[in-house]
Amino acid sequence: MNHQRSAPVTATVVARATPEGEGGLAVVRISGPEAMSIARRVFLGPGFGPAAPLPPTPRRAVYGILHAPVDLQDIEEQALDIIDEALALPMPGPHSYTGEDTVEFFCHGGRQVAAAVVRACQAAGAVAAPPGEFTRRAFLNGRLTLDQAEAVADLITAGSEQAARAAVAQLRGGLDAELGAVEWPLLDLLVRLEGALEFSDDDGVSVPVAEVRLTLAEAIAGIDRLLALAPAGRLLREGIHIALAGAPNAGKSSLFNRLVGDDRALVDAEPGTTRDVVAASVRRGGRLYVLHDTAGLRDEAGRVESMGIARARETAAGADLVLLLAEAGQAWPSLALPAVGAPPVLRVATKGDLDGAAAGSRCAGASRGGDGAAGGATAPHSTCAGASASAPMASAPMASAPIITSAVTGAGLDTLWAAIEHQVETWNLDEAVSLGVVLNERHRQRLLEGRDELSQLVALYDDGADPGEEVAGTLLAATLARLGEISGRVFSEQLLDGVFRRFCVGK
Amino acid sequence: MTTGNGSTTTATPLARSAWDVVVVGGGHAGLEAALAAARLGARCALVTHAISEIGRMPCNPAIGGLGKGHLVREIDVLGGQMGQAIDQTGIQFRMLNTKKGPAVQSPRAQADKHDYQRYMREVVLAQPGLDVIEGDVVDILADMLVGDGGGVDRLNCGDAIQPVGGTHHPQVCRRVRGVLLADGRDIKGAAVVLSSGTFLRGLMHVGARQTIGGREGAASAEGLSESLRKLGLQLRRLKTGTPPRLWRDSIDYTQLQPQPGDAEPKPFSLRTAVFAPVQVECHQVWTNAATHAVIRANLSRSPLYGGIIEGQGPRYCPSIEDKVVRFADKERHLLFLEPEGRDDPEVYVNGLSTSLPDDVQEAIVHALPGLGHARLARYGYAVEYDSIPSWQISGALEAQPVAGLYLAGQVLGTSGYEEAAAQGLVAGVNAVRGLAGDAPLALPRDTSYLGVLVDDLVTKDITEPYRMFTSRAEHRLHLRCDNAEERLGSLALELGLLDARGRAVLQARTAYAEGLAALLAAAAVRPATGGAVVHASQYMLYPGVDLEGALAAAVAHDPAAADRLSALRGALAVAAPAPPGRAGAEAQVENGLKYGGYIAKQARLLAQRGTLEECAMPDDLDYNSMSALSFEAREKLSRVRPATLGQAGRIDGVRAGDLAVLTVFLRRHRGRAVETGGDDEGQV
Repeated sequence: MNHQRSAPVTATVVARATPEGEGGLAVVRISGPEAMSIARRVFLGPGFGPAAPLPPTPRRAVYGILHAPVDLQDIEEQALDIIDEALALPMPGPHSYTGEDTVEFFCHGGRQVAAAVVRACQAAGAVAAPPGEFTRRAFLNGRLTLDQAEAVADLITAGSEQAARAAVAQLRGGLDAELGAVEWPLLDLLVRLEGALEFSDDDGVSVPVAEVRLTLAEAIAGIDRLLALAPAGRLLREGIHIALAGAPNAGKSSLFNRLVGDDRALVDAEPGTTRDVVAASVRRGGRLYVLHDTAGLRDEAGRVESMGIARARETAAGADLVLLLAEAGQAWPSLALPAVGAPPVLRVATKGDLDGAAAGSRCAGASRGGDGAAGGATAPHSTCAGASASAPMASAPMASAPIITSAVTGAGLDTLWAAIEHQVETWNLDEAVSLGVVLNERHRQRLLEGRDELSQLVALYDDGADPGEEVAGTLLAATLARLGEISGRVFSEQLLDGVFRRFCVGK
Repeated sequence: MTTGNGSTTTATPLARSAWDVVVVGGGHAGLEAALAAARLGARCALVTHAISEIGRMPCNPAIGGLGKGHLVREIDVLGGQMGQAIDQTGIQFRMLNTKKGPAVQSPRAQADKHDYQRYMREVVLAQPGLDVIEGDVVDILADMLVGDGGGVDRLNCGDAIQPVGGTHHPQVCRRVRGVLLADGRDIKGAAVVLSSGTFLRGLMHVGARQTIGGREGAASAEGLSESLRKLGLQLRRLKTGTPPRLWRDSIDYTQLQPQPGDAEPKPFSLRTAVFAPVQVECHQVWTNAATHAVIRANLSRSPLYGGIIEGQGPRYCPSIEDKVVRFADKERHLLFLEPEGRDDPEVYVNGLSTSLPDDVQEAIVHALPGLGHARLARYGYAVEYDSIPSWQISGALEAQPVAGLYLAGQVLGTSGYEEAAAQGLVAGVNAVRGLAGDAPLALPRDTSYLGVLVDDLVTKDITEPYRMFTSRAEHRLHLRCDNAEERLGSLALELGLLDARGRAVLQARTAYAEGLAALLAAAAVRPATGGAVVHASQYMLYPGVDLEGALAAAVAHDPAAADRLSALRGALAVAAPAPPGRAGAEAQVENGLKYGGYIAKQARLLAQRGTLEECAMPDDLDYNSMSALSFEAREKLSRVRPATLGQAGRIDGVRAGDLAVLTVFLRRHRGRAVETGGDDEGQV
């Protein structure tokens, strides 16, 4: 390849940019210093092809023929080995996603055509792009900051409209702005502390401890506001996971199918039909929900079924929300949720169309999980007057009546969705979207570490042990370094490692 | 060798025909460089325009200060002269920042500047292997190195020659071979240390009056700037200033607030054996509305504000006119009246640096309390001079385009005697090591202010005179005045500048400090506040418990501890009867324990952040070909050529994103952890 001295030190790469599988259209992207010349060897159309008198017009799609590569010098002798009819979109650098010369081919969908186009480009000198390569190049060419690159990854994998909107807001600098609001007062304080150290002998300057404490408290509060959005970040990225749990034959699978709108789970009158967890996703109100149907909870089960029950409990404990199901009039089964960090639980009385429905109205209720002292979300074998008898946490926001549903008639489903959405609203998803703050685990860790540094400093003042400006300044500098890593303003090697891993091929 | 008094009209015969190291300039940088080189066994020549001027204090008559005191302690441990000189000639000793934590406390002393100068001159003249030559250096002599060009055009070699491979740098243009004096003598030297202070095209300003010279009463070195430019070095104009001096007998001290020295003065040097200074007082005076009014009314007559001075002055030590303009909301500024010597009739007005015209300076002074009838002995002035922007040096302080040419002190854009002396020591040592083919002194940022200084010089684009601050040291909780021996002791022993007695004292102090730390870690005590028995080292972390308290508690709990303690102290007293040994070592142990948690935490943080400091940058990286780097980063990296990724990150203008880019390139360079297959054919 002809590397020019000023060209990026990279090969030209190619990959399919749309997902594998069948579809109407597939996009193949080439990026790198040789993108244009490779495109000319595999595409014949206005501005392309060996004989094209002029280069193609930037950012204008042209129609033409994709073919196996030809030799640019010796076109007359070669018959074209045609692959497809396609559009080509040339984007000379730096005005492209990667910042390099880029050409995108829009060809017919399906596995074979796109694969053939990629092979043709490879034969013409391009190298297969590993996952994340296009975004890595965008970063290396200064087109994206690190957290913007992460937002791109979020955008690609966004499972819902809301997640996509949040990722775009972050891409546009939402997180940076919110972090800045925390960082700037700390930086200002740091400058004043250092000044007090360097000029103290001149005129006895010092920063009043009350001011230091106030700034620290505000910064901690600011970090806490961001941390409160951390669950929202995960929910936006991964969807809201809802586990359906309950006694065997309580109608979990029927309700599951009804909520999913599809006969995904096997339904049978025989208890224990569902032995594994079945999951399906539902998009509703711009949000992505992932529903998990689980095995019924009972004591006398076979070995295989027991394993299913164990997995059901695990799934419930790891979910964002649990729907605890019981046939109207029946007792609530034990979920045995962990004492700490258990998801909230909504109680759903099923088979509301059957005779026991009236009784169910006495039994069902919603309670929060994590009531570990009582042995689970609800006491085992509690009477059907459950809601009050099982004494859910007094502060539970949804200690309301159980929701009576019927998978057969569809009755109560709207009420159930309303209750779910009511719960979801407490998780600040909308705020995260509007601020453009979609935190991932890396962000959350740095925030926690930064908060930790500040809290230690506060603790010193609380203990009456003035740490002195020299220690306060040192701890503040450490905090700012932690926070700076989130946006990549402060660099560390481990920062880089995580960022480009999450990309799929073609981005 | 001449011993005359500034006469350079007649050329005197030279002691020998060639030296290993030739040092240009007898100021605080030059004399440390010359002493270090000679003490390492090199044949060294110190060229100065006047032997009588060696070790002169042209500005404030003091050594030390915040950050600067740290440097003096480090210079001393490594075997430099500055600490001993001030201990012998100081007339007032104060520990600064005593209201702040011990890490940021720093010693400062007023010197009798005549005694100081005399002391230094005598040490230099008595140093075996060191010849002193009077003369004005007008040219740096260097041989062109002819190479194939190597295709790297980052170096400007001055004349149209191509760079070739050098000892410390991948590409150099020339190798130094000596200096030329104004009288035509050619001083041959295999290495040259240039420490010419403010003398490069020095231009003094008082009001509209300009005088050519590096400082009052001294000529400027005019030819040298051109010589450096021809060698391919860029120059930059800087400015500094000095305040007026008053006749002591014209000051009404009854109206001024005296500022005495510390009741228990502490010496700077580990090696000072006899220390009983008779201290004098300084005095404080505040500027007032009348002073500020005079200054404001005459700003147009200031060369600074009238646009005459083009050089950039320091933000940290601004002239009084700068202070009044920039801090307009401050009603007063603190000034110190400092005697220039025990019997010197002149008094230095610290804080009143100015280049306003004579009559304005008098009006300012007369508006101050107690100075209504003060007579000015000398007027303040600003001096502009050429400096060599320090990105043109390596961490060895060697000029990149000229092998064997080392730079130190104000010529590199720093300010202050202490900063100059520190560089002089490093340059002198590296000049000798370079000749022997040894690697330059390794001075990481986490073990010394010297390391911070050298690293900052290499990485920072210094546009104003650089002075040391504790906030420049990110490891400042560890870099304390009390533990310079702990941080640099083993390097000092390896380096070999200390004489036999110095080594013995250092080793005795180290053994005492280690013994004390071990004793505290092992001894059990019952806290006075009650509670379970804890180790003395833990007990010391209790609020209000100091080292003496912890030791007393340990002795009370276990009589054996008393025996161990007296054995330790006995051993120290025999090996090092000097006063600083014990007190300094005890402060080191105490503060090391008290800051221990933070220091360990900082170390963990840095370790977590990766191995940037250990990640070496290959010499042949072509930054200009990395289009992913910002334009500014490409330019800065090309000219600085950082030794490690950590250093790259500290270069002004290199952002975190650039570092990420460099890391990716380095990984590809090393061919490890490459996620991108088949992508390595670039020219990195």
